[in-house]
Amino acid sequence: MTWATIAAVAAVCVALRIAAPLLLAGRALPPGVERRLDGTIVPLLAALVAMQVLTTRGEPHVDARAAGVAAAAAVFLVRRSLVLALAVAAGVTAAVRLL
Amino acid sequence: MTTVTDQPRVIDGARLAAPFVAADFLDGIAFGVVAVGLGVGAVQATVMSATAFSGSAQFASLTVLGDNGSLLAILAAVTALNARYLVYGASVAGALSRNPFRRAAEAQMLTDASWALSLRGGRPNRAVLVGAGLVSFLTWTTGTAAGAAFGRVLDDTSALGLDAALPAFFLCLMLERVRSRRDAAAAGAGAALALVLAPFTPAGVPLLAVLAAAVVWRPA
Repeated sequence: MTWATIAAVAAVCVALRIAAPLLLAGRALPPGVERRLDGTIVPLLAALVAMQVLTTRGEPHVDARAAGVAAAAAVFLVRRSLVLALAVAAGVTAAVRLL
Repeated sequence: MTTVTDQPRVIDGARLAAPFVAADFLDGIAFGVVAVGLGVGAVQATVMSATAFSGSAQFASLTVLGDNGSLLAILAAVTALNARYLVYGASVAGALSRNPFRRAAEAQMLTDASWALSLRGGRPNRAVLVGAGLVSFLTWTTGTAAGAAFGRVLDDTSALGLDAALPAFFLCLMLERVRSRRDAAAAGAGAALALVLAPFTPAGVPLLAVLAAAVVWRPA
């Protein structure tokens, strides 16, 4: 990989992060736009979870992670602790892989 | 600015991000190992993590590079993968500092996780964004350096199950926000759309499609 490629990839990543904050320059978004952006949070998080747990390199693929993540969700709904939920996710996934 | 005790500080953001320090570090190691294996220099890999600071974009760059793809193909993949950061940036913009350089530096700390954590209190919080982002930045970058330098030492990290931590984290943050049947339907639709598109579209497109659909579909 050349340094030029690294610089170009970095430039794209940085630009995508800072574009909106710099262009908006402290102005608040119109309430309608803000509500629409709020509405993207739940479906986007759901899509992130689905992609990470149920696919591998774009192909459908279910493995031990699914069990770990499901167990974590159950624990979180009862105890509301992120730390505990993440520990359960890793622990159950590792345990299922040992089977 | 006056300090209010119940207002989150940078350290609180860092603490919120602490549960997946290990997972981030291992991801960084994985990137370092893969990069060096493809002939990328250790310094190059580390600089990439410190500047691009995006696992998905960096792994995609390696994949395209491995397929002898052009720079244009690499940049197209990176743009598709990270276009959602435009929206993340817009949604937290109102909470960032007034100084443009500080705004840019704070926005550079955006990750999927720091963005989601910063919105936990309802309105975006700058301190949480910066704290969580910094923790992730440090672990990702040092992980990459470690992986590039002596990655072969760690053979199979999947036995630890840490690769389940990040999706579990996103799922928990999502569960906190699902308060109505309508929210649940939005979650189900988002997951379904991404899964349907995944086999047929380049990486990054499913998430973009979900984002676009959610913006259009939600009545204002």
